[in-house]
Amino acid sequence: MFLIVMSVPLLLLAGLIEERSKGATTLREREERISLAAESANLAFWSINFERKESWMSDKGRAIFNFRPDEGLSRELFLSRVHPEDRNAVDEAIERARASSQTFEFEYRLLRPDGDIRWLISRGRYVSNDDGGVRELIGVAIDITAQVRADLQLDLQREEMARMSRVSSMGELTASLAHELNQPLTAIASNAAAGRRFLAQGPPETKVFEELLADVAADARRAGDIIHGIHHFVRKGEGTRRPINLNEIVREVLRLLHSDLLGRGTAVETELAPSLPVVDANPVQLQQVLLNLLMNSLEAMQSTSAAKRRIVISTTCEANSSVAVSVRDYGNGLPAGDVDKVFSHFYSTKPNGMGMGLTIVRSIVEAHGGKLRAENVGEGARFFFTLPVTRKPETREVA
Amino acid sequence: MKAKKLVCVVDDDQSVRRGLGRLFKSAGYAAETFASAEDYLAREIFEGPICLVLDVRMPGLNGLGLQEALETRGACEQIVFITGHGDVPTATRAMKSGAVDFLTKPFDDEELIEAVKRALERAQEQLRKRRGRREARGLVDKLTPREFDVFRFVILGLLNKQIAAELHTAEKTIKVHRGRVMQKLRVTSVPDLVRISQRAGVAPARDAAED
Repeated sequence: MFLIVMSVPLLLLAGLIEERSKGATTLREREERISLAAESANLAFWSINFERKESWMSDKGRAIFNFRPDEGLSRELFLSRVHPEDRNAVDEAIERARASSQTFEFEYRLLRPDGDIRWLISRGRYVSNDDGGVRELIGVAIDITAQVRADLQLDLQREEMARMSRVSSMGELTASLAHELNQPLTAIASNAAAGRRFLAQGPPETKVFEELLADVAADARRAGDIIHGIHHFVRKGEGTRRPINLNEIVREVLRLLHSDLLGRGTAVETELAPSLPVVDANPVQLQQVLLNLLMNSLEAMQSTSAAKRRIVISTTCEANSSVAVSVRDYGNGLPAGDVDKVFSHFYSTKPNGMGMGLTIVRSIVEAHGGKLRAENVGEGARFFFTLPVTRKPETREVA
Repeated sequence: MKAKKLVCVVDDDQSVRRGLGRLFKSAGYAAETFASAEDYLAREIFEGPICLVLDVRMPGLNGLGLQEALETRGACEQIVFITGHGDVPTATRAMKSGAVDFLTKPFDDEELIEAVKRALERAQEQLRKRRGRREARGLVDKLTPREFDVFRFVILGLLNKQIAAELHTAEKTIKVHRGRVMQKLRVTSVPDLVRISQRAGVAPARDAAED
């Protein structure tokens, strides 16, 4: 986006410099006009003429870089303002451009004397003279601090929103999870009690006790896994992606929802592709996507008769380039007309819905480079999303 | 061959089945485990007392559904429900339908075994009653229609003369019938006759209050 914004000023600037060398009387006016435009757009224009040992920078630019009005420009002066962590990279980029007479462009941070950090993009180019030597360096810089901060803020908001939604899905799942935890705990308690009784009846049979203790250990592990899963699910700020198999995600989520599905008398059928290529994704977020879609299907079937109530989850691989997951329900279907409306903020057909679930689902899928779609099928609705398959590192053929 | 007391665990969770199965064996019961209500229904009918330990939530037929199915089958299994989340409406429904107890997982083993013991006692009591009813019915079935009529007037407390009037016959005839009824039902007194009628579920000829 910035490339387009900046190519135009650079052309303008080139024109301006042509004018200047002709010594036109309108030059001052033009400079002013450009400065005006630059001020409103947070743009800095500048040029350094090596032959005439002159330099110029728009007033707005001097303000951004904190240069004095009469201060002569140089690479050293410029670099002294660049954030120390970015300085080397910027210096190298300028050097590369000088050596090849090419346009340079880089994004960097400016560290101002008052400690304020600003984000900038600079674009510039070396202009050659007729002998092929370097005559002039011209460029433009744009202050993108506001955008960067807004983007960061947006990321934070999205993350926080996603977490909130996870926490609220957790609330809905509490009963289900309590049940899941109760199973291994009940088994452990029963085994321990049985062991005590066996012991009270005389010397125990080793084999019986070996089996009993193995069961206790396995159930304790199972309880631990469930707790680990919950903890993982609500934890803040996990953002790591790893290669994952979507079939695993489907199985994990079904395990999490097991009891809820039973309670709602809903059968779930899976049609999982026998082998799926891996996708690069954040497993917790994908669990959330699937969980949301399933909850959505369950709620869509609240008024469906028990015999018809079922969900079909399928995974497929499309042309080895993307993996698709589909969740189909036999509920009331989506409202006629604009089916995509269900993805918009605050849209909800549920009496107590916040209308955020599907919006978050879509934003997660899209952040993974995928697409989420919804459609009505026969009876009920189908939601499906695709994710791009992770490209394998290219294997070089051995000659 | 006296049938042993049997505890049947029906739970879709394998760990729970194994743990509970062991617990009941350690308490001296014969224990069998089933992964679903359907599996249990497929088992051949057991003649002795059975306590069913049932999870409320199961795929397919759930605990309450199985309770209903058993009721229509006329079996005398007694049920102890166990559940992960003891919601009040479900518990109420289960208890109203005759469950012995409703325990929330995880529960105290003593509490569960105590409940199972009570359930087995109730099952045995019910079996005993049922046997008594079958015996009594078997005897009553041997009466002729006429003897049966006389039987129903005798337990109403009428004298031979009154019965004769009711049935438009001679008092002597009634006396003969009454003798045969006592003989066939193997009793010597009217109170015993009343007891048998109660066990067999035979009502007096008409409501005593009508007199």
